[in-house]
Amino acid sequence: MKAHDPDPLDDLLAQWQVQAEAPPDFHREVWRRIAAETRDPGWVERFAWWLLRPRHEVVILAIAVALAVAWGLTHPPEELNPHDAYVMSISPFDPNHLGGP
Amino acid sequence: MTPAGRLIGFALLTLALAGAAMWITRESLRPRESSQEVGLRWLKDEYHLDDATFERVSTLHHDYFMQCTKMCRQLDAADRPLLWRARHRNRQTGDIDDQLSKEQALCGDCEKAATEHLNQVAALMPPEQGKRFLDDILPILQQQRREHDHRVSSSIRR
Repeated sequence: MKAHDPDPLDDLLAQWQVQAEAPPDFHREVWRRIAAETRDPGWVERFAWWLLRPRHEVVILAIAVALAVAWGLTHPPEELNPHDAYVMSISPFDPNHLGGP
Repeated sequence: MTPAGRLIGFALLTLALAGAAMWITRESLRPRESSQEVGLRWLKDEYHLDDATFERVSTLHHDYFMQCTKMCRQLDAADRPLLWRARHRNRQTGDIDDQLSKEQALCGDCEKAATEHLNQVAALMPPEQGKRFLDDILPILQQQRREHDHRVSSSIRR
């Protein structure tokens, strides 16, 4: 059908006026049906919604970084045994001579 | 993004930040001294070296260290084809024997140079301390040589 061809239904539709009125509890009914169709959020969603609030995220990140720093401070790298360090520096057969610190 | 996806992303970000914080903390605590410096400090304390003797021992040590590093690289280069023999089974036995004898000659030179250096260091110490020093370090050097030879020979037999 070409775009400019008049459709006999056009005039008829233009004259059509809807007389019906929405029932008084129409909106409430719509929301009730939407609620009835929506499934309850699982624990993952509820936990994610609780956790992923900006303030909670910042607090958790700060706690994680603080714990990591505390662990690092209480577990410093092992110090080289001075005797072994001397042997390492003079022995060509010491496996760590080339790769040693 | 789904809530589960965001949760996983947040957990990964937290782990990455915590890991970085831990690494930075530990690295900031790592001693800045090299093994040479730590070893020389031990030598000075253990054998009660005075400053003049320590100066001479340090000079000897630094000269020898360069030589030792060079020997280590030569040994490493000589060992590599022998230690990797298992991956090149098609090689001729004659090749292996040649390489092994060259490697053993190099090991002998390395051990001799290290022993000479230790004797020079011991000669700078009072006799008793020098003897104690050699009794401590020489057996370790010889043990490391034996372990090295064992590692190479067991790799060839494999």
